[in-house]
Amino acid sequence: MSPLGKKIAFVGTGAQGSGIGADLIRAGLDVTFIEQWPAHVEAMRARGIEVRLPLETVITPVPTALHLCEVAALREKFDIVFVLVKAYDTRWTVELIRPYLADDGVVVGLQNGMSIDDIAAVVGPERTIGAVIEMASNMYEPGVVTRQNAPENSWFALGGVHPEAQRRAPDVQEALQHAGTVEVTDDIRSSKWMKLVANAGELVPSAILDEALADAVRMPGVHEFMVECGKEAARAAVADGSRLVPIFGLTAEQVTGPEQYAADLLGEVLDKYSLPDTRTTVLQDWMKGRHSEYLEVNGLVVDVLARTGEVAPYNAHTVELARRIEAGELERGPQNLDLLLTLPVPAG
Amino acid sequence: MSDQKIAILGSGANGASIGADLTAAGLDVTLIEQWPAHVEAMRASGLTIEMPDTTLHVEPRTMHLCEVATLRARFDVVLMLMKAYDSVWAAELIRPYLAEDGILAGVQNGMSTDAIASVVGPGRTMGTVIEISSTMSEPGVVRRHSGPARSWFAIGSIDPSAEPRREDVAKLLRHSGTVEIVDDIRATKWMKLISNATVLVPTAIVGLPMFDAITLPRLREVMVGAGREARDVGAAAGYPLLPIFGLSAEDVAQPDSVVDTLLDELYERFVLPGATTTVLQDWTKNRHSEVDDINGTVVSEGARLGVPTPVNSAVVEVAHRIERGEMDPGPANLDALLRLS
Repeated sequence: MSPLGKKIAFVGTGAQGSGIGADLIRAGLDVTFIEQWPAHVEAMRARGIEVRLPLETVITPVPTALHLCEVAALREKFDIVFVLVKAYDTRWTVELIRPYLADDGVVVGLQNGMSIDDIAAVVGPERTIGAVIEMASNMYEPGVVTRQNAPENSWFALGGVHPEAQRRAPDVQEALQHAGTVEVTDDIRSSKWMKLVANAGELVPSAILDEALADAVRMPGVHEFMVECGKEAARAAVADGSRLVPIFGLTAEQVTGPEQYAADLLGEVLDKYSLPDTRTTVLQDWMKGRHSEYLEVNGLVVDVLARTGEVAPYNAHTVELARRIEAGELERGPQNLDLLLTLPVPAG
Repeated sequence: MSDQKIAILGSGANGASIGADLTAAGLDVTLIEQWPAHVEAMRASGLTIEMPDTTLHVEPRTMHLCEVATLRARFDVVLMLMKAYDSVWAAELIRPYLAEDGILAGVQNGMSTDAIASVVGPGRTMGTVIEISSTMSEPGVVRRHSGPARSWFAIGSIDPSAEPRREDVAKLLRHSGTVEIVDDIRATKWMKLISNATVLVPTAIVGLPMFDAITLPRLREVMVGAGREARDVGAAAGYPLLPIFGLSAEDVAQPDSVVDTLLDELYERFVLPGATTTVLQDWTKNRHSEVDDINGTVVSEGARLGVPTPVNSAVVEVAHRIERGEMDPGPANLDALLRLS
């Protein structure tokens, strides 16, 4: 039996999942990796997971790395399932793992976007824990992760939307603390919205320009554009019934109005959680020819504000450019700077 | 129509068989599959379908599940040939890649049609009954016991808006067998469930090919008992008995003997020597079977409708013991089956 006495699964062991999972394995916890990329499963079985941290490289043997197609051979159920797939893969992944979740187990969505409701729809709110994850990492080669934030610089927030789930949050905190600072919040929905405020400016605009985040921010007009995206997201958060709350280790005193707070959250990401060469998850997806989370981030802001008859021109413009890039109608690159900064004139 | 984009979601033994037929017909079809070695084998040396009197070899377009996120275009028709218990997650997985006016057809066992509809909407859902016998022992190679001449499908929609699309799916499946378009697909799938409840799990529990299992004294008793309970639960649910699987209108007018007749017809027309059921194949691979989607559905629907189902409960219990590793499939299990039921 592991120190915590819980059976833990990581579903989605890409850059973030395997980086975090490796910390839990080294802490002696009972961890199973479940992964969809065959070459990555094979590499981890053969050589373990290699995590390249800023100051050291750590290779951790992975006792159990399963391919998705082997899930149907599982006999035991899991107490804690960490889900680290793209937000758009949440529903099918949670459906896949549902038969292997203990009756009193929890699914923890360590993802961008408001995936909490997708998870709850499948396993029930009493087994759903939402989470905010703030760390940067990438993987371009099977079995090898570059994690840009060591555990002392990684930050997580956890919370249930149902009292029964909230009761189990401390167990999850105990497991996850091996990978970073973990706060349990009593309003996870608001915390996830705050992360989305940072993501709305950060993720897609820098990817449209095909630049590392720090380089994109230095281009004239881009920082202002990102802050406008964040402000719209903050308005969407409030329209959705959430509050502006401190995340990333900020204090309540540091939470100002929606305008300033959007800029401050983006500043936190840039100062504390990214390196000069950090590429966002959206750019990494596009480099691999894969879909990105633009609809789950900027698209959500547009949809939520539309419900109250409000517009979100910066996010809508971001969504449209991302759509064109994914449809192959537009190439990502710095040549898009003017296009990005020029919002379409509203009709009428 | 010729530029219709088609996907096979789940290219195991049955899915690969149909995918090979559609590829050979020159259609625009992509075989999506979760088993990495099978995808690699199909890419490296193509897909081989060994049938009793001929062998089909094609070079299909294939895609591993993890590559679905690289898809740009949407599919007009997706034929899903996953295990029944994988229906919902597989439908969720493919939903973003199904055209607004596309069709997702669940070509599988179990009463999966409504579950699929809950994901993609009833207007984009087609229910299907499939009658093919095949196995895959090594990646890239399928042994299909029943070629197109001996394969049979029924297709139906559960929403009037999908009715005009039945022919789109039928047209595809006609490359792989005889296709019947039916008005009540739920009742048709329940007929198949009666047949499956009778044959699949009971014969798998004794660990034998279907042909050999039925020669065991008293196994037939269990099989027919399970089938009759399924018949009664279906009647309580309002599903009429239908003249399919070789049954005549007279046969289905005699509920007392219909399960025996169905079993005899099945063995005469579809069961081939050496063929093992999908359930036994799963157990041999140490995987979960569809027992909960077949006999388990008879039990849960029976409980809901107040119809006792002791035989199916026993079948489910023994199957679960096998899946928990407490016992192995084998003729000795017949005692446990008789004792419990």
